[in-house]
Amino acid sequence: MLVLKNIGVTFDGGTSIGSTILNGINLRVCGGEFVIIIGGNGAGKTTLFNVISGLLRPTTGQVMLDGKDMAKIPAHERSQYVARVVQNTMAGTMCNLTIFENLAFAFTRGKRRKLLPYSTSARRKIFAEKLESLGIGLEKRMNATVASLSGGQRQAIGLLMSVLAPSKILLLDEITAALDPKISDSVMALANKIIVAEGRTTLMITHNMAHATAYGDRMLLLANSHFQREFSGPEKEALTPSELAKVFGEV
Amino acid sequence: MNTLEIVSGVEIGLIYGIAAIGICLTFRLIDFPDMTCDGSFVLGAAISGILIKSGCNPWLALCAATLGGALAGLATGIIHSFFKISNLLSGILTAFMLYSINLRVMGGVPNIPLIGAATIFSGASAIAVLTCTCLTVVAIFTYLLATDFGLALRSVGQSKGVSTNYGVNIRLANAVALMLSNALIGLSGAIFNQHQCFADISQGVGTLVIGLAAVMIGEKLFPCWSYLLIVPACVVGSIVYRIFIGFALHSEILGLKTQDLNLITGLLIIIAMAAPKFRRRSC
Repeated sequence: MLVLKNIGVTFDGGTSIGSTILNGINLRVCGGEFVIIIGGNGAGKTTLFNVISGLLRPTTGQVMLDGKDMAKIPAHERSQYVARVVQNTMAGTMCNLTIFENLAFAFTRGKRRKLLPYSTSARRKIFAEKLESLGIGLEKRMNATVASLSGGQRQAIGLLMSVLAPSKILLLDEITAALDPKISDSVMALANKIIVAEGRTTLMITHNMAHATAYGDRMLLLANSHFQREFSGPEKEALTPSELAKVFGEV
Repeated sequence: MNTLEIVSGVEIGLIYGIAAIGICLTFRLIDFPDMTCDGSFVLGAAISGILIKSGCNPWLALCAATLGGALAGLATGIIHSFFKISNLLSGILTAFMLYSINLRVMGGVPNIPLIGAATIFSGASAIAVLTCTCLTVVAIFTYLLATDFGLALRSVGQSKGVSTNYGVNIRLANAVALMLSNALIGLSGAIFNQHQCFADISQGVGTLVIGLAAVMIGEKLFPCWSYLLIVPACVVGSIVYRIFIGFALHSEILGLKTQDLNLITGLLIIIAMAAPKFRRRSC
């Protein structure tokens, strides 16, 4: 369970030009829950994710994971609890390494990286199965570099990398923003399939209104540095994308 | 160029090949332009020189020099990670400070001759000793890069964001890679010292550029960038570099002399780096 208590982030704090990005953010995400976050550009959605993953220290407030305060745990150690997929398809994978090497690296998230060969037949078998479940034929191209893949394929690999090891919370940051509508829908469906099948506790930022209404257990609107509105599952499902776009315009 | 000169070129190539592996670890693997090497090479030579002179076992002297190099790398790592000084300047500062330390190690004199002292080459074929040593180092580091630990080091050079997201402590990884790299450069300096039978305070000038030339030639010779080939390519590149330089300096037509060595090496690196760019532009 992820609990955010009164999170505030101010850049250049204390000066007259200081800008408040987040203020009084409270959130409780239960185990297995899939929560959607929407909000305009500059609303602080990615900043919130940076706070949760430990890349940014909040000015005020606490991040708790399963009752444990995360304040003293740096980003690289927090990675054993927090998995993350980013918007930029180039930034979520290592382009010059092969698909297999990327997966082998992601496979050891949260474990000690020992002086044992990373290329084992057991791993090859696991990765081949996982790649096959993506249904885009990448299991036959395990030794191809990620740079040779298309944006959609790269994002699918990035997604697979993030869920190869267990996590307490999965953060998806506009994972389909850089993809064309068709690929975007298939990557989103893939993400949903994995999240539901494995019961991953997930927070997802999206600008795609259709995805926001179709997926997830509830939805939060981040505006004016805090959560302005919450939509429960049924409320969310009743919204059409155009109605949601209207709500967006009002804030 | 006669056979003797070619053999001597291969020997020096093997010695600098070990330094080239170290340079490849920082420049290529973790993408850290480490300038420590000119200092750590001499540190290795100085430690080996002073120990050999005092009658120490030559192999033990090599171990001590390797350890000394690792400490120099650790210093650069600490200056960079904890004092937040840029990677380039951290190495330059360490190399600069090592000049004093190296003179201290050498007992205040800039030159230690080792004529007649027992070295790893005493009573053995130099080329055989060097080949065995080089093969051992190549085997160890090729294996290292094929492990989960090696993959974590490589991730740092590929993408710091991915690296952190997947649990790599970048500061620690940098420090470890710098230690391994400079340990190899120190070892290379120590072997050079025993091979040449003298230690000199200015021995390390240009180690970085020579190592880099070897790495680049290796990359050109083994263009398929597989982790299994990175390490041996450095040694092969180093040998090819020495033979190339030997031919360039010995050819009557070019009229080049020993003092032109740095100029040729520099031009070689510029051509190696520029050539692929020109080729891409033309098509």
